[in-house]
Amino acid sequence: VNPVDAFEIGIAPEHIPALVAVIALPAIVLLVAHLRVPMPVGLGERRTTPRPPLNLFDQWAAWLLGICAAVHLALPLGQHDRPVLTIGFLAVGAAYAWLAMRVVDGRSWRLWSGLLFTASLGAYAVVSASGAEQPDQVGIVTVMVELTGLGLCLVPLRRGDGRKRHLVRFFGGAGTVFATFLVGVLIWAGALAAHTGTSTDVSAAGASASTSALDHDHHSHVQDSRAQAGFVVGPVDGTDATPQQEAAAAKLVSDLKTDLAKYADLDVALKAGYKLPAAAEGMEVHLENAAYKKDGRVLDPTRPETLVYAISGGRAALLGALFVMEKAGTPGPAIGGPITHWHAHNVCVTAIPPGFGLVNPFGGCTALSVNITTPEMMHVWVVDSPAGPFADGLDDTWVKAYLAQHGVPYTLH
Amino acid sequence: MQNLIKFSSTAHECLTGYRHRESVTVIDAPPARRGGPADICYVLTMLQVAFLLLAGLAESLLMGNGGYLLMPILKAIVLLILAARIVSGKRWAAITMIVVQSLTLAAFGIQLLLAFVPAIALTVNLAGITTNLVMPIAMIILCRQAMPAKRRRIEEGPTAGYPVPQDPYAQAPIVDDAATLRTLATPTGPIPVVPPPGPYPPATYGQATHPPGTYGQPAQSVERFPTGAIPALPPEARIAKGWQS
Repeated sequence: VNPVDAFEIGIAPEHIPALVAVIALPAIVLLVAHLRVPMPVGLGERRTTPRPPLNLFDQWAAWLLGICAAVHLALPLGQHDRPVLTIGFLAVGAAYAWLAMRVVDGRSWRLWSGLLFTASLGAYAVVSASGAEQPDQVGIVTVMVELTGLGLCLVPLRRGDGRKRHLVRFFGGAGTVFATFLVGVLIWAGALAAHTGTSTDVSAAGASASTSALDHDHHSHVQDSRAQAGFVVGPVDGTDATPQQEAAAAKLVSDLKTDLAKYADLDVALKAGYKLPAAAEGMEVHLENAAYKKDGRVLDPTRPETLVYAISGGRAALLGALFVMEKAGTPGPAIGGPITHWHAHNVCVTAIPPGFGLVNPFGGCTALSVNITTPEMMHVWVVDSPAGPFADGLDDTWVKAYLAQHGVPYTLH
Repeated sequence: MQNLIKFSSTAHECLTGYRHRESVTVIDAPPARRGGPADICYVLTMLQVAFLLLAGLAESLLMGNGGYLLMPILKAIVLLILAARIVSGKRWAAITMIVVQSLTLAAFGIQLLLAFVPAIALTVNLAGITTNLVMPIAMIILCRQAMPAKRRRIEEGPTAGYPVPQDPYAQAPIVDDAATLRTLATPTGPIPVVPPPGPYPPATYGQATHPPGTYGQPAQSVERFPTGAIPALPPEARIAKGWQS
C-alpha cells in the first residue's frame, strides 16, 4: 500500500463531505466576517452590552465547536439513507453551532458543551466498539477535536484572584486523560475485532467460493482497515472474484500444501534456513528465512519467506506460510482478487527498550519510538481450519486442538 | 486607589527631601492571563499523555512484558509536570516543553526519511498528521506565547542605547590636575552664538512642513488648514473643503 493509497483508504467515502466542510469552514467564517453578516446572539434576550473580546481559550473553544458543527451538519450528505441517523447528526450539529455562537457572544458555554462532547464521544465509542460503524480517519480526528473540547470544558481556567485550584485542575486533567484513554481503547478494540472477524469471513468465503458472501464481506473488510491502528489493508476493486481468480487461489493453496509437506518436521525447516524467534513457543510462531526474503521471488510456494508453526510441549505442527513482499509500499499480486488480500502492519519501533508496538488509533506511538509500515504480507494456511486458507489469523482453541492431534516431536538439532 | 496614590506621593516627596516632586507613577499590573495559551497547552498535554499510555499499553501487551510501560509512564509524568509548571508561569517549563515537542517533530521527520528505505514505508493518515505534526506545532506556538518575559538582572544595567541616568544633585568631580584646567581655560574656537528661539508660527492643523520662505509667518493654506476656531459648517461643506472625510 503506497502512502497515497493508504491516505485515501483511511477516509470513508461517506465522510468526505464532512472533511470538505471542515476544510471550507475557515473560508466560510472569513466570508461571514467580511460581509459583516449580523451574528445571531444566543437564545434568550438580546444582549444590551457589546460583546466582550474573546480570549485565546474561548477562541479555541469556538473553533473546536465550529469544526464539530461542520462535521455533523455535513455528515448526512454522505449518509442520507438512514433517517434517524440523519436527524441525530443534524441535531448534534445544530447544538454545536449554537454553542459556538454562544462562545462568540461571550456567554457561558462550558457546561452544555461538556455534556454534548461527552454524549457525542460516548455514542461514537459505543458504535465503534459494537462494530456498527468502522472508525475511519475523519471520525477519529473528529473524536480528537471533541476530546480537546471536552478538556477545555473540564480543566478550570486560571483566575486573577490568586486562587490556585490545584485539586480542581488535577481532576479536570485526569478526566481528560481518562476520557481519551477510554475512547481510544474502545475504538481500537472495535477496529481490531472487526479486522479479525471480517478477514476470517472473507477467507472462508474464498474457500467455498461463495460470491455473495465475498461481496458482503469485501465491503466490511475494506472499512475495517480505515482506522489503520496496527493494520493497513490495501484497496480492493469492489468486484467479486472471477472463476479464474478462484481457480488461481485454489491452485496456490494446493501447490503450497504439496511444497510444504516436507516442512511438517520442524527440524527440516530449521535445516532449510528458517530461524526460530526469541519466543519459540506459541500458537502462531513465525520462522523467517532471511535468504528467501531477498531472493526477488514473489508468492513462490516453494520458497515462502516465513513458515508458521504451532509449537508447544516439545511438539510442533505446521500451520501455513506467510508471503512477504520485498519492498514496502509495493502491492502484492492479488491473483485471487478479493480472496487473496494482502495486508501490512503499521507498527511502532521502540528504541528503549527495543521492541515493537502497534500504532494507536490516534496515530501515535510510545516514547522514543518511530512509526513504520512493513511490506505487504499474506497468510496462506495449509491446514483445513474453519477460518479458511487466507485468514489473517487462526483461532487459538482450534490450533491447540490441531497441535494435540497432529503435532510432531522435534529435537532442534 | 486614588487615596493610596496620594498617600504614596506624599510619602515619596518626604522621603526624597522634595527633590523628586513628581508624583508616584503607578503602572497597573498586567491582568491575569485568564484563559491564555497555558491553559490550552495543559489540555493538549493531557491528550498527549493519554495517547502515550495507550501506545505503551499496546506495546506491553504485544511484547508480553510490562517493562515496556516504563518509558511511556516516565514521559507522561514529565509532560504532566511540565504542563503544571507552564500553567504556573515557569519559563523553564515552557522551554523544556518546546524541546520535547521539537523531538516529536524530529521523530516525524525521521519517519519520513525512513520511508525511503525499501523495506519500510510510512502510513500517512489524518490522525497521524494531527498527532505527530499539528499538535506538536500547536504546542510549540502555545508554549512560546505562554512563556513569561525573561527577567533582566540588575547587574546588566540599563538597556543599551538609552542615556545613563545621572543624579543632578551629585557633587561635580573635583578637577585638580593642571592639564585639564588648561584645556578648560583655553577656548578652541569661537563660541557659537545660539539664536534665541522663535517667533514660532501660530498653531496650524495638520501642517507638517512650512512652505519655503514662510517660516515664522502664518501658514498659507488657511483654507485647508484653518487656524483658530473651526467655523461651523455643515458636513457637506466640510467634506467639500477637505476638512472631513
